[in-house]
Amino acid sequence: MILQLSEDQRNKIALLARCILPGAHGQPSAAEIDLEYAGIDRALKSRPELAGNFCTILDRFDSDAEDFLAHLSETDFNLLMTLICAAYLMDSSVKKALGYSGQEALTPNRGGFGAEELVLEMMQQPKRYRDI
Amino acid sequence: MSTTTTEVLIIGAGLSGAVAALELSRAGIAITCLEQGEWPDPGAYPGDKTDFELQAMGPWHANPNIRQAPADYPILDDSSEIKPMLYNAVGGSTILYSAHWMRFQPGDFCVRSLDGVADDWPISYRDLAPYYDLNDQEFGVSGIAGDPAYPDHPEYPLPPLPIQTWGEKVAKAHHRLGWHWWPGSNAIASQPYRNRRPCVQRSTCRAGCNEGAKASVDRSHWPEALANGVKLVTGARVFRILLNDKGQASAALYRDAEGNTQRVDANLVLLACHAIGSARLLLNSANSQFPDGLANRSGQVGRNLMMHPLSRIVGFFDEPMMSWQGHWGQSIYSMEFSETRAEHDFVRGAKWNLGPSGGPLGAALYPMDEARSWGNALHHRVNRWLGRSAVWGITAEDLPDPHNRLVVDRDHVDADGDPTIRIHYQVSENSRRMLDFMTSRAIESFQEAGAYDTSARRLVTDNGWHALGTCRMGSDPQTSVVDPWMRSHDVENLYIIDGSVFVTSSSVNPAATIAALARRCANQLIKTRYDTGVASQ
Repeated sequence: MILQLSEDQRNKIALLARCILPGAHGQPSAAEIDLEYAGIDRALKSRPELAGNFCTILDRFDSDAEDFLAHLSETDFNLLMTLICAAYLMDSSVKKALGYSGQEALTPNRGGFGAEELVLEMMQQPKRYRDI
Repeated sequence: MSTTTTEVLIIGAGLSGAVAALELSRAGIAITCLEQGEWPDPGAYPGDKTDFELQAMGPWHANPNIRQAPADYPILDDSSEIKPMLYNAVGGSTILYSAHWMRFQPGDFCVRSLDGVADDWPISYRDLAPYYDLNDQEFGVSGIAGDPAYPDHPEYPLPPLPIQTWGEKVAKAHHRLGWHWWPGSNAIASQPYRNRRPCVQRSTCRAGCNEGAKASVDRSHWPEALANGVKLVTGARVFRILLNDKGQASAALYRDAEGNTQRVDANLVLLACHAIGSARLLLNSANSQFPDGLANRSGQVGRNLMMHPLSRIVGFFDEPMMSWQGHWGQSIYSMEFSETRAEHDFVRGAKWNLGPSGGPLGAALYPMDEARSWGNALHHRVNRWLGRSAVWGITAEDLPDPHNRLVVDRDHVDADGDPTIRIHYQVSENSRRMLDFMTSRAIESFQEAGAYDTSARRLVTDNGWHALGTCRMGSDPQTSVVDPWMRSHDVENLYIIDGSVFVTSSSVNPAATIAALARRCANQLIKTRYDTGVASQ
């Protein structure tokens, strides 16, 4: 069962997200993606157990995002950041801007593991363990 | 309540339980295994899903108190500086482990003789070496033999996984520094091996291996054990071991998935429930003969808990390296500082393992030693981390301390109403000094490798993967719980075959040694099958 967020809560998410994730460093602003709707719904679908506390935090937020973030408890700050950052970072346009394609199945090079010559040199070193 | 009968009862279907079940079943011994969890569903592993990182921080978290899955039992950890990590299912914690496959060094078995601290094990590296060798094949370990930090041993069955760009950078740095390094040995297939596919470097090992490349024992051991006739009962949480009038372990009571109490009678009982679970079961099985806990005349059950304090150092590089990919096991490791040195202000040492650094959400949320960051600072943090960083994980050898212990807390109960366990654990001053030293050296390592910056967490509290030592092995029944064959000193047909029997912890990941000990014990049981005291039913 996914908690349905109210319009007021979605507006608060948008305000907070724009403070947390402005456009910078080649990344889109949270305002440029559908974070407060599809993004946050996707994050909460993954972690429905966080929805209750998330809404409680939102309900305490008024309008000054900087001040609100600075004074949240560590637990609440982490929960808020987890959901808003996840909503942002799972967005396809954000991933594309990051050059991040997700955790992919690759075909590793089976020709060698790397630094083989240095391994051979290490093999020639004296044994370095102790024993009795 | 129904009662069934078996020759050998194994409690726990994780690493040690699977190794013992397979070995004993090959000898034709009738076995029942009770496992409180269920079979994992590889299709549900989140590694190939877009919300992987978010899932790994919640329902796939390794801390059972965060995960709170139905198979988990609460572990009270507010008195512990390090939080426990484990998994309850067929396969146990191997479902989530990173599969670093490391042998103890020979000196790890004799720290009292070498360094005057803790205790020597009653067995040596030479006693375990044949079982390390056998298990390297069984687990399909990838790696390369010849490491000067170890005695010679047979070649691993598979070549090393790629050490990756970051591994090459650091390997070259260590070469220049004159420091030890070696390609990581991992129980992760680098090529097709038996029923396992090769690793695809997805870097999601810690939430289950989607490809089946990692040797989690649900895949590497249980299929053959079941084919050999082992009866595996899931959803079966054992809450008490019973003794007969001869003082032998004769039965276990468990609650099935529907909450009904069931009973299994057995000739031999093998505990394989993890260092926390096995101690809990023994303490909860107190009776008139053992008022302080079953098999606990020594008073050592639950004591000497070791948890491998860990430092994590991130190195930041200019070069894009796609370091969100790669096996989450070790790219390379270093034993440069694993042994005691006269110039150090601590005894013993640490093992270093280098690995990838994960995805963007982990980067955004990673607890740095700085103020909270959002806005431009948050973007900067993610950009410099993602794909351009590598991580040294450093595990300190944790010496046994009887005050670091597990105790039953009767004020708190699990879902079945049985008393749960509380951890009392403090990181020692020796470990703190060690991690301070190691952190400085790891920064030096990264700087030599070309990192333009580093970030260090000297003590990572949410990383108690290696709980060890709560039922220590020894020759003296006054000071230890099991003998050198892992047989209880007090109950002749009760064996403890998991990491709880460790006398000391080494600095290396314990999985290979847990598996070797379990296999050695199983072999001894097979050899002495008709000499061992068994319960009369």
